[in-house]
Amino acid sequence: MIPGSRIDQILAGAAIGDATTQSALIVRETLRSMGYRSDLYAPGDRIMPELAAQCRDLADYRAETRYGVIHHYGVWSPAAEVYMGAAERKILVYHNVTPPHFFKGYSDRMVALLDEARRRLPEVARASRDIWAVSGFNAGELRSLGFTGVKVFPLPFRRDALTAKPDPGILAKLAAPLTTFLTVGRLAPNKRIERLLRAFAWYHHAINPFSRLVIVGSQHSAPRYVAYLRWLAHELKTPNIDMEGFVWPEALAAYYQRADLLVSTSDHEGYCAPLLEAMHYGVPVLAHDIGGIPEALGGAGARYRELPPRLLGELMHTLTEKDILRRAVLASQEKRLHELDARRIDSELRDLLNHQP
Amino acid sequence: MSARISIGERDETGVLLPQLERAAAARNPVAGSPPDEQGLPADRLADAKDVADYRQRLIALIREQSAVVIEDFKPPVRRGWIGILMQPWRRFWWKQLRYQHEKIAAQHNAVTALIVAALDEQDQRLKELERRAEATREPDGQTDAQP
Repeated sequence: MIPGSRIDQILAGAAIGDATTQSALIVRETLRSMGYRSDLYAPGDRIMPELAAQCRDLADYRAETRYGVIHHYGVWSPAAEVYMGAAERKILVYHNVTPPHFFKGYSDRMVALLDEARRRLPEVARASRDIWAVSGFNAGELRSLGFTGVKVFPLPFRRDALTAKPDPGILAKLAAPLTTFLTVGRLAPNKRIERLLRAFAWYHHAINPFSRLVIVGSQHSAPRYVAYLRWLAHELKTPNIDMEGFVWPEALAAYYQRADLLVSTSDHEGYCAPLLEAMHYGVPVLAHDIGGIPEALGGAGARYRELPPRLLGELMHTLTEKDILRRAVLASQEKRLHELDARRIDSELRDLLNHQP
Repeated sequence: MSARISIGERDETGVLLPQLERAAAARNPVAGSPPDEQGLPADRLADAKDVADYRQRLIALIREQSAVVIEDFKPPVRRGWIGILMQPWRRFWWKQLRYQHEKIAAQHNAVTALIVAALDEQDQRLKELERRAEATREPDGQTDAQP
């Protein structure tokens, strides 16, 4: 590498609470610490105003001498088009494209968008000199498409980025002594929140009525799915379900602080950063053992497969009640956090950048 | 694929799964406890083929469930003697509140009935417009509207 040369990153959008944006910010800081000049770019209308100082408008992306350009790919977008037209060394970071069938019935637009993203993935990969995947699961998808040189660069995660102080208003709102289950992530059909609603309904009706389920995450990607969930919650006669939508980091910290267990019932995840956040806040994690989740957990937390909702509800109860199991889960999570703290993102990046395909 | 449960790096299926099954079988959930799998009217939304199908299913659900359910409510009881002592107090207050609650529910039902009637009106209007559009369509599939 030539010291002082540029490596920029192009994103489809930049938002607070978005794992891709967060990881791109960590990569930018690491590249800068390694001597590169580095900026983030995203289409202007897809940059959250709060991130305007962190992310530049893609319209300002000019042809200039760069060592390389990194594109974080999870959907086809104007950012991908700019990336494809770039002349410098292209580095694709694959964050996974949600299979379109999950959105069938909820959003024809999302089905078309994700279908296009999957269809054009080989084209983007072929145009790239380097292909990095944020999990082995994602790398496997690319290898099955015939791309053999894929390198795994696990989603960068740094605990020192989680500095928000818990919102006292949310802490007060959740002060009642109820057992609190939490799930975090954009509300999309692949998250299979309906399974969690059913498991919680069993828990609430059959085990402990002094309980609540808090669902945190943007509700914009599939409002019809959210309508289905609301109706299902009503039919399950389970009133203590709070669908909070997008929340700021301070509120999220408060929800983590009040949670007894974080549950993920997702059927498709490229990695799943909220699991790591929950570990950081000392919340035990129970997750569906699929996709990139086992890699994110790295042997920590509690994982399940093929459990009907009533047994999942029983497992949620066991993990909140049995001290010995809870302590085992927390100990495994503490070990995982130490591994993540010891990770040297700069040396990983240096190796990846020095790699000759 | 069969059920699996891991705690940390250990596979605990053999120990935990029978415990969970025994515990679930021994529960006596209160009336209205949910079924495990698909089977509630809301799940018809999850089976929609596309957005048009979803809309039809949604409107059908609204028509079916346009009234607020005001069936009796059994206040939950905390474990221990404090819970037992609190139970009559909670029941008393629920009965006091019920009168107001049902008044609000009746208003809610009236508003929802109006919304459902308005949906029906819109539905009929849309069908009429579609019928008229179809009638003006030329045999080759072009409409007769010209700029």
